Amino acid sequence: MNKEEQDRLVKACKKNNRDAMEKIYNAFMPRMLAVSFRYCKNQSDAEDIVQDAFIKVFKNIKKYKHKGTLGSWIERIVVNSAIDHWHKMKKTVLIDNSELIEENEAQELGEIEEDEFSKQLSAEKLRTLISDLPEQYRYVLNLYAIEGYSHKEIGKILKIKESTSRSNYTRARKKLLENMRAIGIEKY
Amino acid sequence: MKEDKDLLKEFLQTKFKDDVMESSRDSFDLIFDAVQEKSDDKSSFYWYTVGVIVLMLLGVVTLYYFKNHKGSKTNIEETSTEIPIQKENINLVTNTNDTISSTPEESNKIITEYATSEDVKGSKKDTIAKQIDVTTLEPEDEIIEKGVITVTYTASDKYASTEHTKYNKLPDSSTIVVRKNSNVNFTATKQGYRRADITGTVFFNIKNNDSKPFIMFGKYSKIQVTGNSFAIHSDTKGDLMTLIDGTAKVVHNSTKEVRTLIPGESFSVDQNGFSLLEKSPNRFAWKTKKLYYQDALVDEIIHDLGENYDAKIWLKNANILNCKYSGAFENANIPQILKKLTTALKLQLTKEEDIFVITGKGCNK
Repeated sequence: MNKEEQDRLVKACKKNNRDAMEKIYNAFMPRMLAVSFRYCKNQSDAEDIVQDAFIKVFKNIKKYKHKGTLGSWIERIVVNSAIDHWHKMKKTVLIDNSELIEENEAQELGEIEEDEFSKQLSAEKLRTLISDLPEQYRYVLNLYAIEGYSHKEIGKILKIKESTSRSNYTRARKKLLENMRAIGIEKY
Repeated sequence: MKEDKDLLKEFLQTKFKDDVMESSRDSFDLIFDAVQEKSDDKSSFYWYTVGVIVLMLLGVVTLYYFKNHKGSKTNIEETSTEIPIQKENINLVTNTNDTISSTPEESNKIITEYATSEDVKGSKKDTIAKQIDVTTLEPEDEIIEKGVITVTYTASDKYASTEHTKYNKLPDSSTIVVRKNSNVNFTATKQGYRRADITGTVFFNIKNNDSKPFIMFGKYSKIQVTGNSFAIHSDTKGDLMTLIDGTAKVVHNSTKEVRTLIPGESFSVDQNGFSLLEKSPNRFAWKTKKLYYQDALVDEIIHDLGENYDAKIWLKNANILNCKYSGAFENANIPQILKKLTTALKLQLTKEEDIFVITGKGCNK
């Protein structure tokens, strides 16, 4: 969908046009579901988040000022809905025994290894590996590594300490790399 | 270390840049309906405001009339006490059933009756408070118009604590408890049926009235309950319900199939139809005092304990979440449940202020 078409549909959505809304939904839903799924344990929760997000999108479409792409605006709403979901569902607080990370917990991803993973590991498989992480690790990993938030910002968003965000990220990375490597070992 | 971080970030960002997924359901109709609900609210807000202003003017005229003519002093007081409530709610929006109408006299009468029921509420509160720690809340939104009373209760986090359970009395004297992230929109008319639209988890103690059926509207079903005690959870995945006492008739929204619930029975209703559940869902444990698990992850159990009892539980090791437990808890409190759980899973339980701390090795996946 090109930008002109998007702008035309957004204009129609602002007039509450059902067809335009459906076109935008159909065009962006697969992408948004993939984003949402990274934060969830199962597809059903991911679909609930996307549903909530699209309700917000269409209710607030008048606030979309065409700054940045429509896709990135919707994606931001999806991530915010996932964060709302976190606050609704959060019942467990993970305490880190120590805010200091042991030497053996800092795992490294080598350049050659990265190249191999890029070729061999599908986004779908990687999504599943991320969804297997404990919930708090999963959120911190997504927000830090993919959405680009700082640990200070994540602390505020998830209402956890900045240092907890850091240690959660280190441990999430360790677990994810271990799982990625385990798959790699099976493959070769 | 820094380079390593950048490599993983770069890898994940590249991998997920154009990632897409096929959906297993088409939710557009639900989304569009939800968007329209808001638009309807907005368009009818004007009329609600006009209606409330007219009611206020009527109130002022009535006051003026009684001040200048000999009349019932009781009515003057009751009407005047209601006027500030109308003013406070002028900016609140909620749904009313526009198809039901009645005369302005009836509206005034309802207002007066509502003031009386407030007094009843006040006096009953003390009785209930002796049994459990109870706070009775005012509805967040309340509209009294054309003989229709509509009230809305939306539970925020501050509500559903077992230490301060919020019992809300509906205008028909039924009592509800609205759990976290849940919402009830109740509509009643003088002549018509009583309607409660439900999102999330709600417990009802319904005031029996044969001439005014009480109907709950879930996402996938409608339930007509004849006194007394009923638990329901409704969300996009389905409706879950347990009849604790009384009788209930359930109608599936799409198939129109009708089922009858007997006390102690539980149903799950979704787009595919009805399922009779062997046990009451754990999310109703707050009311049923029963939790039942078969190979359930600790993650799920802790979620239930937080949901039902606001238990604050800290795990010192994420691997504990991987442990599985089978067993049942009946009429048990949080310390008893956690003691049994941690003993079975060879974990240690301690308490720091009001937080239960669980330590131990945990389990591998």
